[in-house]
Amino acid sequence: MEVASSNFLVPNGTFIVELAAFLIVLLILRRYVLPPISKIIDERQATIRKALADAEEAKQRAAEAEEEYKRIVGEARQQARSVVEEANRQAEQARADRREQAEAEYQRIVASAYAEIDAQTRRARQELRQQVADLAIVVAERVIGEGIDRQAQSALIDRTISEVTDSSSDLGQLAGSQAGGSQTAGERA
Amino acid sequence: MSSSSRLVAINIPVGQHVTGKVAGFTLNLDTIWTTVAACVIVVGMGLYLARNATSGVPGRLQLFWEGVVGWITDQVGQSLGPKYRHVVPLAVSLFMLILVANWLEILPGLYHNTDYSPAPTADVNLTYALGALVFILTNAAGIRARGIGGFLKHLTRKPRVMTPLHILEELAKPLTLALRLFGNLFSGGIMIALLISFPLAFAPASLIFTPLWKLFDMFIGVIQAFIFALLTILYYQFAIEEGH
Repeated sequence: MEVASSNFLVPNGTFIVELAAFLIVLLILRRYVLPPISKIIDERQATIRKALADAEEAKQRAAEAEEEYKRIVGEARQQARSVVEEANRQAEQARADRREQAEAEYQRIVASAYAEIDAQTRRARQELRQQVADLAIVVAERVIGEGIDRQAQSALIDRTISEVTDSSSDLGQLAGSQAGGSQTAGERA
Repeated sequence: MSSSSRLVAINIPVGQHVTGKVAGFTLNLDTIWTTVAACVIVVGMGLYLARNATSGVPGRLQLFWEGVVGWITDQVGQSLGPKYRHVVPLAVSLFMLILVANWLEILPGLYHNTDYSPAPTADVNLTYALGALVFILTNAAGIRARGIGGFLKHLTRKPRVMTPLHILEELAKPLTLALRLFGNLFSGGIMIALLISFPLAFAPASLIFTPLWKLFDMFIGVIQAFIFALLTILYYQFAIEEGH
């Protein structure tokens, strides 16, 4: 080993060594180093591409989900509206039904009241007629001074009473006031 | 006065190497050691990376290598096309080895006196070797792409009178490739030697400018590695291109 000077532009045996050294580096890098690095670069690019694609897909899915959500909410609103309408309709129906029932009940009560009044009127008239007949017989016996065969005379009496009651203002007024009262009650209902 | 005379008297060794003789060949042992150091660093980094690289979030070393590989892959793809993908390892190896070799200059005194620690790229033996390799490979690619007839026809293309210049141009390519790298690194080493050889009175200047120069030298180291790799790809392109 020595320190020597020479023309620095002229190569020597070192040239071969340098060439060999570079070729060794080249072979090692080409064989063992660059393939994994290239593979990793490709992998990363693939990962990035995939991530971007995934993001795009996720975005699309989100948009679809929102669309679906809007649709469902819209349907739910629609359903709620129809339920409310149905309930309103039913309530209206129930109210109408009840009103109808009440009306019918009222009519029934009024009708039975009329019937009752009619029956009572008839009974009162019957009793009155009976009393008037008896009274007439008594008055007639007293006027004639002898007994009257009630059976024999009853037809005459009845006719007389009918004539009297038909023309009698008292009885006519009595019957008229009763009928008028009922009518007023009916109008009031 | 004495300091200026000392400045003039500085002896900066040029073309001086630690030599040995093997089978009649003179070997610059210092260049070989530093070359081996650069090779070990490059291969070590590469193998470490090949084992530990991740396709997830890369570390700084991986980022750097991926940047270099990505840039060269793009460059080769644009200039040469997918058929010449095998140029990528060549260009990557050239860039990495030259870069690390250049940066070895930053280390103080791998050998010699402490003033002057040469980068292996500051020895023409390395740059000639790389230039010759690129010359052989690019011309081989040219012959393969055009055929031997097409290759010769390309050299003797019209106007015929230019043929000697075309041949000269082809020969100049590897030579300039080698000497550009050598010259930049060699002069960088001389600059460092000069800065360190400042007389004691200028020690503050030396202390300031030496680190500054070394930083700049690192920049030059990147540029030169970049140029070497880029020109290799371009020489491939010129060699295979139709109708140049």
